[in-house]
Amino acid sequence: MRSKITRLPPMKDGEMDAEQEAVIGPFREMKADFNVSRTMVRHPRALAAFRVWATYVMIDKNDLDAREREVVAMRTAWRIRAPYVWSRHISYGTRAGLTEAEMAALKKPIEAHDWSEADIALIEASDELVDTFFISDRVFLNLKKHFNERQIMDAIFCCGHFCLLGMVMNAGDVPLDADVPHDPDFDLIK
Amino acid sequence: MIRRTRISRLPPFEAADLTEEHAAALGPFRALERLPNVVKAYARHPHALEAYHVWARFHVGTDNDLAERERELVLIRAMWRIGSEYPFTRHKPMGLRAGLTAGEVEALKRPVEAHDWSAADRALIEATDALTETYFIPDRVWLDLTAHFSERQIIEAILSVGHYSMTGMFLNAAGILLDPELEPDPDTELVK
Repeated sequence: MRSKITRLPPMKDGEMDAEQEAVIGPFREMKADFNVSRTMVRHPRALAAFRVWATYVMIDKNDLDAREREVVAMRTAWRIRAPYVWSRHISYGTRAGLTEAEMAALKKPIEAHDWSEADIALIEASDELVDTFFISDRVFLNLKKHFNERQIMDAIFCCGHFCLLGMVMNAGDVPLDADVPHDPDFDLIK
Repeated sequence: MIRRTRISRLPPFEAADLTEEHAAALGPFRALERLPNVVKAYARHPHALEAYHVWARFHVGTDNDLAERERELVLIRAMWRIGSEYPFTRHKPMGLRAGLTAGEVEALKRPVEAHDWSAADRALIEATDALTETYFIPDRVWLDLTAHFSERQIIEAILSVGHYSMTGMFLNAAGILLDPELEPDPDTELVK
């Protein structure tokens, strides 16, 4: 936890009003009523609208393969220092085919691992977007070599989505869910 | 107007580009000629546009808790800070309509000390700066926010910074240029 004050803690069962219960319902049914939703349900209309976009990024009709999506999501989470997003995605990344060594390498400079050219394009695009909110011509051309137009758009949306989510989780000082591992590398962050 | 790229990236999708599948997926957005470049940019990926539209509409909803002036203040500041000319320029007239003065819009391009902002405005500007630079809000600024805004207003302000940062990075990366009716701000030439 980075803050000394209580900010936007996840709401517990019994604290929610009828509108909030209605919005958290679908998350509960999917056993996905994680702290991210329990914090965002503090503004139920916001969570209801956000869910449509978040579902697009993570599940629906997204053209980027799950492994590539997780490369972007986890690199972004590390670069913006969003431990909640990182820890939540360890199991998603594993399921999508990222190895333990690859996940460890996502926390290091790109040269520290023997990435494929396609992975390098995604990682460099994520780094540039997080740092400068732009992608240089060199990196954009690398993306075009390995991904089609919709996949490139989805990679940008994925990075942007987790920047947005990371801002909310960091600013709200939202604690990790009980079912995910804490990564001590995030403790090094000031 | 700034052109930051020498290559064609994701130019606005025009009516002539429409396939039948695409037109069906675009639904209400198929009348492309009347739409601004931001929608034409997302229209290249109709499934993304459909989901994005639901989320984007939330931010400009009329029954939100944060007043329009404060929302525009936050997002114009955010777009200036991340160097996203398109949404910055598009929102300047919207900010004026929402009650920002021309002097205030100019001041959003400068350090917070350069203008005599109210304590509430200052909290919003400092929160926006902190989020776009560090993806976090320090305790001092958080306490200033809670002194002036409700929990839902604070959530909306954070979501606005995040949403428009996401949109701004896409428009920057896509190489989207201003709509013809928009007046370029000469100061955006300073953005590298």
